[in-house]
Amino acid sequence: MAAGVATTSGVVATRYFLPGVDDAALDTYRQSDVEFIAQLGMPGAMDVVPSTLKEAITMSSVVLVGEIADVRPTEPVTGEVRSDKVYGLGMVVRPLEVIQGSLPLRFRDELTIDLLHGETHPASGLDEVRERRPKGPVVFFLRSGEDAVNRFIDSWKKEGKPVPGGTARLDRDRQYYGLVSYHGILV
Amino acid sequence: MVGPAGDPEWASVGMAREASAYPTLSELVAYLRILDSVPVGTNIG
Repeated sequence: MAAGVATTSGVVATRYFLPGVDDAALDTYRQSDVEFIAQLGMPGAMDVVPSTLKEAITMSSVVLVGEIADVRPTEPVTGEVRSDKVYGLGMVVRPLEVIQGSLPLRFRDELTIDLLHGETHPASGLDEVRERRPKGPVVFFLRSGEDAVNRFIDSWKKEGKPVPGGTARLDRDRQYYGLVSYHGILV
Repeated sequence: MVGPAGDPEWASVGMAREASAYPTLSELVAYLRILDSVPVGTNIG
């Protein structure tokens, strides 16, 4: 459910309701969920370690509880040579509750967390990963691609440099969310 | 314990150590809900 709300600035903000989550669902322990998260470790890909939960929040666009509804390949990143590709794996999340920050309306029903996979297409192991995904609610500390891209553009402009890499890569990144850290996913 | 308990390194550093002090996920979420003075998104890299 969503409702348009007129604000004093004339901008129409949108409020909506998420399904919510109960404590029993949060506290249902599954060893398989824990193992799934532990196996997400990608050396070097997310080596930022926030020292506190508060610091992790400052690094996040949104902290939310959600269910992993699916796992799908994300749009690969193409290098200067078209055959030079890095593939990603997308955790498709159905948001249940926003704990901190905000979530744009377009991600109300579904958002995708882009995880680095490697130079091979993830299709071969996808069914197994999908089957092993956590079945209960998960807490995510997420940085939106939109926020990250805007931050990059601001920094390049301040330095008087042209935006490198063209807009295709930026448009790609805007559609995804990223974990702020390997530690930014809790089961 | 909250977090990927199968990874012995996980709970030894940073926010993971703090999070792992909460015995259940609902207790951690309850704590995160009441943190209303944290400037969300001010440190996005």
